[in-house]
Amino acid sequence: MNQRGTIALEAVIASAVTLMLLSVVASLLISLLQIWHQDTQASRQRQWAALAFEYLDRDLATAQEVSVDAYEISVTGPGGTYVYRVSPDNSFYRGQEYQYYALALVTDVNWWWEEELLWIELDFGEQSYRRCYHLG
Amino acid sequence: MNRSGAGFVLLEVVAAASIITLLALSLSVGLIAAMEMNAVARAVTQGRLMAQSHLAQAAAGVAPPQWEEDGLVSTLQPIEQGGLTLWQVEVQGDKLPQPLRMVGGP
Repeated sequence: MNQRGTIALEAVIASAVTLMLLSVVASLLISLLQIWHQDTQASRQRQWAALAFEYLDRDLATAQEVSVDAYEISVTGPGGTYVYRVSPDNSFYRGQEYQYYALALVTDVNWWWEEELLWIELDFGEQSYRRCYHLG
Repeated sequence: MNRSGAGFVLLEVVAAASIITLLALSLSVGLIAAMEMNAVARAVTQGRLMAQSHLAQAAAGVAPPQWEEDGLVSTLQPIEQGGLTLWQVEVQGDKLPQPLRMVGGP
């Protein structure tokens, strides 16, 4: 092979290697971003759940009366009556009269009684957090 | 192509492959570390909620001695303290670096 052929071949190989490198790095970055996004979302949901249960812990620890129906959990304590509801846009919030404080963006929130235990479950789709309260 | 030319091309390919491998390794290590931290944080939150729930069940008198859920195992045992019987819950799991312990009273 003459010198021109060698140079051309080297240029082709260098270009191919560069393209391969770029495609691999791009694929890696896309995968990294996707996993990072999922991981961040899961972390955010965990923090929302922790915050929501902090509020529930505080309200239910001093509750004088708790009533539950299909739409809300109503907790009456020294500070007044707080309601926990899920809005039509899937925001789980704590409200008192006209004030509302969003706690988490959820897929669903379930609550149910098992004798003296009130179970509350925050469902985020891929993960869920739940705990029960003894309100005997 | 002479021998030095072939060697140069081979060197380029090896260098590119090394860079790709190094990048892939660095990104993977960073990603695995981040995922591991998130998994541990999630296990701690789940474990804390599980321990609190297990204590609430104990207070209601319906707690099983051992409760297993989502890779976590919560063990309940009564402890005597000053004439009072308290409950201690210990949650263990693969993702928990140390067991979580929580004590509750009647």
